[in-house]
Parts: sequence; C-alpha cells; structure tokens
Amino acid sequence: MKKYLVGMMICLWSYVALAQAENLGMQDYAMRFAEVKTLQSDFTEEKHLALLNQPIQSEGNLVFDKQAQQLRWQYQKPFKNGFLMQRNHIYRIQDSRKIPIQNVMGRILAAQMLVWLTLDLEALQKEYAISFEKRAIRFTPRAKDHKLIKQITVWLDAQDPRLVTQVKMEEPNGDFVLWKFRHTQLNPTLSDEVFL
Amino acid sequence: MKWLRGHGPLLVFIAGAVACIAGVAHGPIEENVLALIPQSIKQQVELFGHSPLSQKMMVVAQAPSATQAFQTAQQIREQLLQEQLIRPVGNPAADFIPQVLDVLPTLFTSQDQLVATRKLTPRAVASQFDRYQEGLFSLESMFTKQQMTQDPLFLTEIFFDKWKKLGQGNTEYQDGLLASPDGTVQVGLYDSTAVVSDLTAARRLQRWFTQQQQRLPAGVRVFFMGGLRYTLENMSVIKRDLLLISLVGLALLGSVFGLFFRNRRALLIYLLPIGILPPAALVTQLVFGRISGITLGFGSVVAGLSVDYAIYVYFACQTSSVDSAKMHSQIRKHLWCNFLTSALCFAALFLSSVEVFKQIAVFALVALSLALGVALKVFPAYFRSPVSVAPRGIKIKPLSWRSACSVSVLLVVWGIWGITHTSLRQGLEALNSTSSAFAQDKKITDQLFTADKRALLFSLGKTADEALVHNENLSAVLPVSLPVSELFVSAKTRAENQTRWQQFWTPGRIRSARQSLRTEAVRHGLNPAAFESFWKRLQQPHSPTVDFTAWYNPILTLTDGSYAVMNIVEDTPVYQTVAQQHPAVFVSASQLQQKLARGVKDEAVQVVIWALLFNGVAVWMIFRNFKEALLCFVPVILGGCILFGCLAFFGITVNILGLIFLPLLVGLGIDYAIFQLMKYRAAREQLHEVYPPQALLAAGLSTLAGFGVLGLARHSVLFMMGICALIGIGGAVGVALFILPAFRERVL
Repeated sequence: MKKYLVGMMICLWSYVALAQAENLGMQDYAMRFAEVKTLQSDFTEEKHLALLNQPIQSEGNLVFDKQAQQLRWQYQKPFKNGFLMQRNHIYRIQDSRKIPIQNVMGRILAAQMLVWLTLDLEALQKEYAISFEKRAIRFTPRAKDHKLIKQITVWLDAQDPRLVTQVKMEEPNGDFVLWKFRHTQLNPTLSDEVFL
Repeated sequence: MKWLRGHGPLLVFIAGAVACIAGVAHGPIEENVLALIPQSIKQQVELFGHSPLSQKMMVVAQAPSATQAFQTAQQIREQLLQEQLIRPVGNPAADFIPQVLDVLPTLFTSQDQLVATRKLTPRAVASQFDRYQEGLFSLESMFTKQQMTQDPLFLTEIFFDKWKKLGQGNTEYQDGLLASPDGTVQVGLYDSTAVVSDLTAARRLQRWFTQQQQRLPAGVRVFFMGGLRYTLENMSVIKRDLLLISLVGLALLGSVFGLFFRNRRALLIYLLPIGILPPAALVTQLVFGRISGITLGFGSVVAGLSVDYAIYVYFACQTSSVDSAKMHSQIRKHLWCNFLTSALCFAALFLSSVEVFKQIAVFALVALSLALGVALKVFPAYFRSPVSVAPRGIKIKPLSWRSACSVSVLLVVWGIWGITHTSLRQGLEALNSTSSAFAQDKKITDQLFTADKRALLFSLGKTADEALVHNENLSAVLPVSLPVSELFVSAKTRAENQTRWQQFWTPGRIRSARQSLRTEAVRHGLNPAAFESFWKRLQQPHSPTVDFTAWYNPILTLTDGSYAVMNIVEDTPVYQTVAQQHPAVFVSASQLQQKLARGVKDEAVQVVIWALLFNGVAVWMIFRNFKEALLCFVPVILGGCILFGCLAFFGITVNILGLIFLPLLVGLGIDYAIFQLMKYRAAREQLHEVYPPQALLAAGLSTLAGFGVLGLARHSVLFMMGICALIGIGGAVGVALFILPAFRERVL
C-alpha cells in the first residue's frame, strides 16, 4: 500500500513539474516574442495539394509594425498581389491597387495573420493546444473535427528563437502549405511608405 | 362588534380592494404597440411587423477593433444558444456548395439557362480557371481549392446572384453577422425564444446582458435591440412614471386637502381612489385578458374624476341651513348627472377600435360606477357628523357680460390660431417611450439598417403554394422581378425548372464541358480526377437537403391561417398600383405613418362626435331647456381653445394618442357647467348652499392634481394626457367659474 502511495506521489509530482515546465516554456517564448516590435522578411510559400499534379510555389515579402498594427503581405511571383492591413482597414493589393476588403472572412483571415505574426500565445491558446519541442511549437486545434486545419507547426531559429524560420499548415485531407522565411530582420526601422 | 357593524360597508369595500390588488398583480400586464393601433390599419401594421428586422432580436457587439467586435459577437451568440435564449440557426457547412448544386435545378429559369450557356463556352471556362489559378496562389487558396473542386464551372454563382439580390442594404451579411463598414459594430440577427410582448423574458434577457457586459473588457459593449427591448423600455418608463406620478399626485392632493378640508373624516375622499381602482383594473384585465400599462397610468385620471363625487357630497353635507333629505336628493341628482356625462364620454371611447381606448373605457366606467356608489351610499354617514374645521368660504366674482364676451372672443381666436399651428407627432415611434440609453443604442443600430426607406409587398394565398404562385404572377408584371420569387418557387415552377435543367444538360453539352475542363486542367497542372465528384453530382443530383428558410424565410403564416410571401421593395408607387390589381398588400413605413395618423385622427374625431352627441342628449334630458343645454358646452369649447392655443404657443408637439383626451375634455367641461347651472337652479329652491364655489374649485384642483401630474410622465402618451389635462381642464374650470355665470345671467 505504501509503495502505491509513494508511486502515486511521484506520478503526481512529475505531472505538476511537467505542467510547470510547460508554462515556463510558454511564458519564456511569450516574453521573447513580445520583444519583436517590427519585422521584415522574405518568404516562399509551397502548396502541396491533391488537386495539383505538382506543388506550386510563390514568393514574396512581408513587413509588419506591431504597434501601428500595420502589415503588408506581398506576393511577388508568379502573381503580384497580396493584402495590406492598417488597423481596422484591410485592403487587397491587386496590380498595385488597394481594394478595400469588405467581407468578414477577409478581415478575419488578416486578423489571424496578425495573431500568428506576433505569435500571441495567449490568444492562440484559446483555440489551439500548444506543445513545445526543441525548436518547434506545435498547434493542434482544440475543436475535435476542425474542417480546415489538422495541425500547424512553427519552427524557430536555433540561434535566435524569436525568429520564425518555417510554418507548416496541414489540412485534414493531407494537403499542406509550407512557408519558409529568410532574410528576416527583427525590429528594423520601417518607413511609412512601405505600407502605402 | 357594534363598531364592525357600523363600518361594515367600508370594511367590505377595503377588503375587496386589497383582494383586487392581489388579482391584478398576478394577471398579465402587457405593453404592445398593436393595442394602440386603430382596427382599420391593424392588418397592415401586423403584416409590417413581419418585416425581417422587426421580428428579429438584434444583438450588437461594439469594440475598438473589428476582430474584437467579431469575436465578442460570436462568443455572445454561442452563450445565447447555450442558455436557449435564441433559436439555433443553421450555418453553411463544408459541403455547402454541393448542396447548392442540388438546389440549382429547382431554380433554373430560362434566364439562368442563358447564363449557364455563357459559362460553358471554352473561353469562359478558361477565364474562370485563370481566376482560380490566381486564387490558388493567394492566402485564400483554402477556399479557392474547395470551390474549384466542388463546382469548377462556378454554376453556383447563378444561385448566389439570386441570393445577393435579397440583400440587406449597404451592410455586409456574412457568417450570420451584419457588420458596419469598419467592422467595429457587429450585429447578429436572431429569433428569440420569447414573444416580443413577454415582459418577464425581456427582463431576464436584460439581466443576462448586464452580466455579460460586466465580464467584457473596457471599451467593448454588448446590447440587444428589437421588440423585446421596446417592451422593456415602455414598461420601465411607465413604472418610473407611475411611481413619480403617484408621489407627486399624493403631495398635490395633500395640498388641496390642506387648503379646503383639514379634517380627519375628509381623508376618506382621497382614500376613495385606492378602493375603486384595483377592482376596476381587475375587471378590465378579466374582460380583455390583459391590461396595458397606459390603462393603469390612466388610473390617476379616474382617481381625479372619482374624487369629485366625494367632494361634492362632502361640501353638500356641510351645509347646515338646508334640510338633510332635500340636500341628499339634490346632490344625488347632481352626482347622477355628472356620472352620466362622464360615463357617456367613456362609452363613446369604447366605440373606438383601438384596444387601449376600449380598456380605458371599461376601466373608467367600472371605477366611476363604484365611486358613485360609495360616494352616495357609504360616505354621507361619515360626512354628516360635525367637522372640527369648517370648510373655508371662498368668494368668486364672475366676469361681467361685456368682459366675458371679450375674453371669449379672444379665446376663440387663440384656439383657431392654435389648431392651425399645432404640430402632430406621427408614426409608430410616437407610440413608444424610451430612455436616453435606448436612443443611443438605437443610433448605433440605425447606422447599419436603412430598411426604413423600403417597403414590404405581401402576396397572399390560402395555402403557402398559392401565395408563392401569386408572388410569381406579381413578379412577372413588374418591371424588375421580385428576388424572392426566384428563390422561393411554387411546386409548378419547381417542376418546370427541373425539366429545363434536365433538358439543358444534353450529352453533347456535357461532353463539350468535360473537354473544356480537361484542357484547363492540363494548362494549369491540375489533376482532372479532382472534378469527378462534380460530374457525378451534376448527372445524378441529390434531393435538396439544405433548408434556406432557416436563414431567410419570406413565407408567413397569418393569424387567420392564410399565407403571405413577403418581398422587400423600394417605396415607389408602382408596387402599390400592382398590389391593388393582385391578391397582395403593399405596406411602406411612410404610408403606414400617414395611415396611422389619419386612422387615429379619424378615431378621435369619431369619438368626440359621439361624446358630443351623447352628452348633448344627456344635458337636454337633464335641463329640458335648449339654452341651458347649449351653455353646458361653453367650458368645453373655450377650454379646448385654451388648450390648442397653449400647445401651439409653447411649441408642444402633440402625440397622436394625446387626442384621446379630447372626449374627456368634453365630459369634464360639461360636468363643471352642470355644477354651475344646477347651482343657479337650486338657488330657486334655496338649495344653492349645496353648491359652494369651493366645491367646484376643490374638485377641479383635485382632478388637476390627479390628471395634470401626468405631465411629469416620460411616457409620451401619458405626458400628452397630463399636459392636455393641465391646460384643458384648468381652462374649463376657469371658464365655468368666471365666464359661464355671465352668459347664464344674460341668456336665461
């Protein structure tokens, strides 16, 4: 009986210790990501879809100002399009023209981007179970039969864990999108023109 | 025991009143705008009430950012559903596009056939796939991918174009939420589980929203609008008013008491309303199955009237020089005359088709009957005993004939000017009374809805299908077809559309479309197998499973069991003209407003005419003298002139329901005239002491205290009654005291 009790105590202690470690990890990451005020990066986007014979790839760049809540997500190849978010106003960029996005879906999509770019773990935790690995953070939707997302994995730079190097978004049917970020600059000085 | 026997009738009266208070408190007290609508336009108001917005509960979330507003709105929706405060609404599922494809054959018109033909040309398919290709390279690729596999030819666009035409103005309607252009205001339109007139449900909902608000971060607001909020607002305003009116009314009555009575037994005069109003309210509740807050508010008017009877008895009993039997006979006759004139006014009011007017008529008739009974049977025993303080003698000097004539001419001119310059507040909004917080909330939601500038066109039928057929016929003769007729079709049209769909997809056309798709798949590096499910579904459509009426249901079941199909149209005459030639009804807010004002005016004129006729006959029967009967109308006419002149002079906008006061002015004005004329008649028999001027003054002031205090009310209808009483009755009392005697001296 005593053995069982000791065993149970050890299990309980281990569970509490692990939970604390997880919380510590999250707090640590959250603090690091909070240091990022502005961001500039190039990206490639690979889409692996059952619909396509071959994966397709697009390239672009992004600039982001956390305080001003401004984001420009610009595709350069093969099409020049993207979107621009300026506080509550969202625009589609089409042939260098700014077209206001009126629909809620577009706005929500852009708002989600903001959450992901800042890696607002507190906000994300409401919708995703978050697990921390050595250089990756894994987000699994809390909703059991999520129709669009199976899992999202974010890889961080080995030297500077504030830098996101890759994001993989997997769908329940096996399709996935992979974003690779390079030439990332943290907290650069951004001129207003980049958001015009 | 002896004491009990001596006060038996009074004790029974008090016990009855207490029992009635309990009865009224347990019964339904409702505030429904329909109860204030004349019968002639009730059907149109009822139909207008079926407008999609008026039936819905609007839940508004306002936040500094669009995301926060959207998330709050969604969170509130989930909680409302969990608490079963709203009915669940079906949301578009992942297989929504295939479901729309299943419905499409039933809606496939000859016009759609042309659109589909254009969509199948190789050039159109290529252009569509170019758009898809670009979509695949964008952030929204997840949705593009779904759409291009489920409906590569984008045939569902035919359906979505029809659906878009149903639109809700400039606002955006997605994910079950309407949003302002910047997204910081999000409105969910839901069906409440409670009926709009349910006050308890409205209160529960208000409490729930208050709790939710406390949990939200600073800067984020949630509130609800719609019928339930109006119910709550009207009742809250009436309740606040009732408390204020009761307290101020009591204070004023206390002043009148101090001025004219100042003795213990005279207190009974002012206890009379407490005894008669509860039974009157209970009877009204039993007759109509409910009682309106406005009817209860009218209690103060009835209180003022009933007190008059007790005052006349009191002053008559204080006369020492008149034989008791003669005095009793004289005052009984006088009170019966007073009762007759007032009761006839309320009888005229009962002839109105407005339910609240009828309620007020029943309420007042019961209360006044009880007041008369108590004043004549119970009170004389208490008032006959000597009083500790003698009533104050007041001397009133009437105007001379010349002065009376001059003042009367001036008053008539004043009245005519007033009638031509008084502005009338029209519309359904005039029937509601709301707080400043409500006005603020309404301003926020009004920014999103411009539907007020639109009109509703209803196609009627004995069955739902007949109503749909009538709607299609109506649509066919209009310059622009009705969007509802293209989405909600009759059985006959559905069968015709399905046949058209089957005939459209000839083997040759399918072969050609398949070839176009294959070409585009090769051109864009797509897997042709991805489109197989689309082809399969096109050739073997499933029975439609999606129920669009869960999102938007234009088919209404009316109270008489018939059906109506509702269309939202522009407020232009063409629809009205077409509706007159078909089994249809056209209702617009502007037109309804005009009809409502005209309806209430007609009702008021009708009731005033009836009241004048009834009272004309009554005063003729009382006096049997044409001149005296005519003189009875002097306080009424001049009181009315004073009223309208003052309303125009002070810029008071008249609420249409304030017109209800006019027949009462007739009754009360005649009462004061009867008092004066009977006084002169009684003088011939040395009975004039039964009519001391202070009796008329005390009665007038008591009525003003009870009635005029309504001028403090925030409820527009009660306020109007109060202000009309203050000026109208005050004027009538003045005319009866200062002008009528001069006319009487000259004429008789």
